Amino acid sequence: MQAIKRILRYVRGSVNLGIYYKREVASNERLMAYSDSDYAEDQDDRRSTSKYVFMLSKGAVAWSSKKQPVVSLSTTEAEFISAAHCACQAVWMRRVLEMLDCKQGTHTIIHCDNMSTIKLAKNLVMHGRSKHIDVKFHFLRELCKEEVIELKHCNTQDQITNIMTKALKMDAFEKLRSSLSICEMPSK
Amino acid sequence: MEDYVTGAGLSEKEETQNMVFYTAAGDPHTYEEAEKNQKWREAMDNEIAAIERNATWELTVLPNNSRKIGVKWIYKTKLNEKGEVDKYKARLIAKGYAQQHGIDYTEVFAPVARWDTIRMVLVITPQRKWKVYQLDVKNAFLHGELNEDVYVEQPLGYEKKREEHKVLKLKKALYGLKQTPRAWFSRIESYFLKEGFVRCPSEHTLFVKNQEKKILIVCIYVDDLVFTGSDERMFAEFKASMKQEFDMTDLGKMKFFLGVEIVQNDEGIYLSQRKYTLEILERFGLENANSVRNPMVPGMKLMKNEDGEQVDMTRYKQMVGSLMYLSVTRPDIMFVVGLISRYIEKPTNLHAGY
Repeated sequence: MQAIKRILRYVRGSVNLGIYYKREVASNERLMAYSDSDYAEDQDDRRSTSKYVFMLSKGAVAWSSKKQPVVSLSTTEAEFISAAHCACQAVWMRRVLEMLDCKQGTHTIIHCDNMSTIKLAKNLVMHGRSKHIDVKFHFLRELCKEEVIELKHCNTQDQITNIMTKALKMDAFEKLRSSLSICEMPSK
Repeated sequence: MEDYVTGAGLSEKEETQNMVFYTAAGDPHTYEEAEKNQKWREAMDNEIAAIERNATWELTVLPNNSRKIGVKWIYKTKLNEKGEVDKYKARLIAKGYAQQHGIDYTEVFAPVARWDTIRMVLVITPQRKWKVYQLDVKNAFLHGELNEDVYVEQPLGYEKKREEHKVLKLKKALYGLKQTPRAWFSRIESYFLKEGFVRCPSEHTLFVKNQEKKILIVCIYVDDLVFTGSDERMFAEFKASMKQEFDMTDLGKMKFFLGVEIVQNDEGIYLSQRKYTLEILERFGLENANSVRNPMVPGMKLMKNEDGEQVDMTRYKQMVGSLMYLSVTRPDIMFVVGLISRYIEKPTNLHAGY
């Protein structure tokens, strides 16, 4: 089945879906991010894809899926570039939220399912395989050190951004979709 | 910039032929057609009245070394949401394509709100039990003030008797000029700053006013204003002052914004693009197609297809563009849309399948 027509058919089967920002009684209005990458996903030039989703009060507010501008040599590197991309968006969103009287009192957690990426961002150790990615490196490390963001590990199956990377099986797809606050209009 | 097609060299006839693509069937394409009909004559009278009420121009002799820019009438029958005739609209536009950079215009950039920002504003409202409202500025672009000297010819049918050789010097912007959106944005921006709003440094279309622990938040999208906040009295004051400054339509609670339908109640706020989705399905002839339950075949890999049979590129681009806009409320299709947009250069049957 050809790609674009398949999407349109999917859209036709899901015309009634939209995004719902529900009143959360116990919401702390804290921004949370999920960052992920798809290593060497492009079959032609082997570049990876960065993806992120930002959640606030259980509603998805910002999302992106973007091919990386450089070729990565490892999944860790691809994840790292993705986390740096996500961190830039986090810094911007925190500023806008502050204007909206929704100041983030503490750091923003970025969930990431790659342990080595988290370790690299925390430790200022230089590794033979990562020394060439140093600019993005230092940017992310600095934000971690200043406690603007924190990278936190999460299991692959809880990674919301998977909906934007992999072609998923039905159940997994629909489960992730509802955790993105996508649903039919609530009756009432 | 030289590669840019301006259309400056087009003859009147070619221009009319081009216009035909943009106007709905039945609407007149030229002044000669329109002036035969009472309803279009009235529409043009209204447009000229709105422009003159606004002190947009003054009649003068064209100075040496200056050029005049042509103007043109555009006619459109506006329908309401039920598909009935709402009104007949005649719009006078300047032929902005004939403008020269550095002479007739300099800066043209005007910001619009990002969807990320609009969603951030919306997501916080249910938590605080705020409601979101919407205002629309009528003839917004006519309010912009021009910094450059621009002369336009007198509009067909409204030439001043015995002064036909004169031109109109613009004091305010007209639709169609390159700098018009920017002029409008500067105008509304300075108005907001004067009214005590603070502009968000990281998002220039977001304005916030704080007053005794109360807050009013306004987001500008060209002539659409979305606002919310903690205090009803600040809303009333804001609306009254806007109405005095500009000609406004009060749209009440935010219900329909840039093709997105919005439902608000005490439990939350719901955004969907149902109508837009149905429109694109109909446009591409898929309104009765079989539906599927996920946007991509699991495990499928897409790649360039050098030897494949190339398909209609324009249509492919239109599909990609329509789906991109749908991702405003549908993050579930974001990834696949990003994927298919990579093959816009040379789409083949593998990518398109129509």
